[in-house]
Amino acid sequence: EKKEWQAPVLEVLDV
Amino acid sequence: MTASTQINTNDRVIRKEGNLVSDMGGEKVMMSITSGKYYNLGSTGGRIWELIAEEQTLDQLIQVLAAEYDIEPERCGEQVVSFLEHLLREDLIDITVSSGV
Repeated sequence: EKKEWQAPVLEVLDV
Repeated sequence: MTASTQINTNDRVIRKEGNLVSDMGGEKVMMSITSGKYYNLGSTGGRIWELIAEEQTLDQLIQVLAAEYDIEPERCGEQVVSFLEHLLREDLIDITVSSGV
């Protein structure tokens, strides 16, 4: 039942 | 804690207030009211953001994530620390260093 892991990444968006 | 310090498993993490968060297609997008910057936390990062609404140790955070996701705790910890360090550099979280007792 475990969800697929994706490495957490903080993306800084250029508006 | 400064942004250049290594985060340890007993350190306590909590997110800062003052951010507008929205779900977009399973990913969390956020705007910092203080800096005006926009961020995409992604899906896993969004889940971490939810979990640190209340203060908890890095170790507790890793345990919850390793139970929910298909990931070994050790590798999960490495990636979560890297993510938290980036959040800290952006001044989006507070970390209380454990006293070591």
